[in-house]
Amino acid sequence: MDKDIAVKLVNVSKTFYYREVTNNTIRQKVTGLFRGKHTLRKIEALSDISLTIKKGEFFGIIGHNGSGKSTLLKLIIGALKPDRSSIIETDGKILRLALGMGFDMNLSARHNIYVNGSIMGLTFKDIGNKFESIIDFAGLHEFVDTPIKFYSSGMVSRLAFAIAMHVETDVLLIDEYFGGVGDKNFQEKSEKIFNDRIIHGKTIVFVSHQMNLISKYCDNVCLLDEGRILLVGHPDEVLSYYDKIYND
Amino acid sequence: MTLSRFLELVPSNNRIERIWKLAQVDFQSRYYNDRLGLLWALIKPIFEATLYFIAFKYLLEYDKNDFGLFLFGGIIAWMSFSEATSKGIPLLSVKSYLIENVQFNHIDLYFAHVGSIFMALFFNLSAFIAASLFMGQQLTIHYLLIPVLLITIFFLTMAFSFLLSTLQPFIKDITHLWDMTLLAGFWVSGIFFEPDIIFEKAPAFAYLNPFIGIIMNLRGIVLDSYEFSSYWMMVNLIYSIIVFIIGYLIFQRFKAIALEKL
Repeated sequence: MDKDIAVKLVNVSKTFYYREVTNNTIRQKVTGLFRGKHTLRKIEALSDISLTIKKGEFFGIIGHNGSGKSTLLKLIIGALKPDRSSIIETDGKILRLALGMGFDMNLSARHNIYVNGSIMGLTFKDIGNKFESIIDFAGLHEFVDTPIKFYSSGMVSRLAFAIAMHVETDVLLIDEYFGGVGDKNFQEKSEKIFNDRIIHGKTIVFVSHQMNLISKYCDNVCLLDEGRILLVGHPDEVLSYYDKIYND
Repeated sequence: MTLSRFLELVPSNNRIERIWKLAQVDFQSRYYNDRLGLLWALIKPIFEATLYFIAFKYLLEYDKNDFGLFLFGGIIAWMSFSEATSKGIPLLSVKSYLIENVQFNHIDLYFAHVGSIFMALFFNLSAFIAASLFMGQQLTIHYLLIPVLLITIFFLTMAFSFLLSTLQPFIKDITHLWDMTLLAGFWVSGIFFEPDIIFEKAPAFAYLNPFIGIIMNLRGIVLDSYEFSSYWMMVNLIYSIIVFIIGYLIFQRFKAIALEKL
């Protein structure tokens, strides 16, 4: 893979198979033997996706619900395995930013920061150095040692955002996220940090239905429909095509 | 089977910190949220050993040297395996919050899981040794072999955690099946009796169930009146390594499908 490429997908497909009648228990497996074969249904979540995302690029992915956007992010991060003959190449550390990302709700903010930080490759010393800044940014000083399950959804979101701001990730996958996190004050603060610090030098893959954000931030946009790429290009071009086909 | 697959098992410095942190939070959430904290790790095996001691010694008039310590040693070795494997069954679903959001080596979850169980095992083992020495048992050169026993238990718990957590999404009732297997194992692993009877009547079973040898050797090391067998130590170690390799390969082969099924 070229040095200036962060994510490369070649003919990536993902098919999910399921049975209409579940047979996950021994009883179901045994009784299933006598019931005859059940058809194995398949859903082609993604078909022949080929994309190249350059380092430092802000890449948007849009499409209706069920078009395969989140599946694509899960494939990039390695949480799902693509079908055979698919090629996924990535360069650098990847973090997916979504509501409730990587949090154990029974643990405190302190423990979750250390767990996420160390998984992202930070040493305890690095995490210790950034800890106050993360808590300060999230405004959670009084609740550092409170289990996250007692937080409001806004507090959880602020913490997730604060961690993502501070960990050194090369590729950030943002799934239906920022823009509506926390109160107005936090939104302004996070947007400023996002513009100043996050975008700078990082590769961002941004999945969203918020077209104003796609238009504002993205260098290139991919339009997905029923697991296939309809168009990849400049936001103006892709968004107008999106408006046209869905208004039609 | 490629060498690189196995090389990823070797943790780097940062991975060791990560595994430590995951093990620590696992351990803390298991014990520290309760009022008695870590003491629960000790209270449970002592309570079990006391119950069986009363039942066997007084009700069944079972006579054995140092019977209390004999039971305690067997129970802590078995409990570590039993807890690690039964709590390891839902590991992939419990940790899906990390798997889906951060890119990392998923093997670390297993290292951390077994590591957290080993924290309690070290604690109990220390209590067992301290109690034995206090009761007049001798400190011998055989103590140097305790790490070999721990490595054997480690490989076994890792192997079964790999296997069970990978099977769980396909066979939902594996939890019940495993509970029954553990119950059977509890009564046939020599926790209550010396393994001579198994070696005589069903030697093949002693090869199939490594805990017979592990428990026998733990007692042989710590308690003066029981025998230690270097033969069974080696057999168990080799067995555990083979099972570990099989478990690891099955985990690597089916992990992705298991994650989809969750």
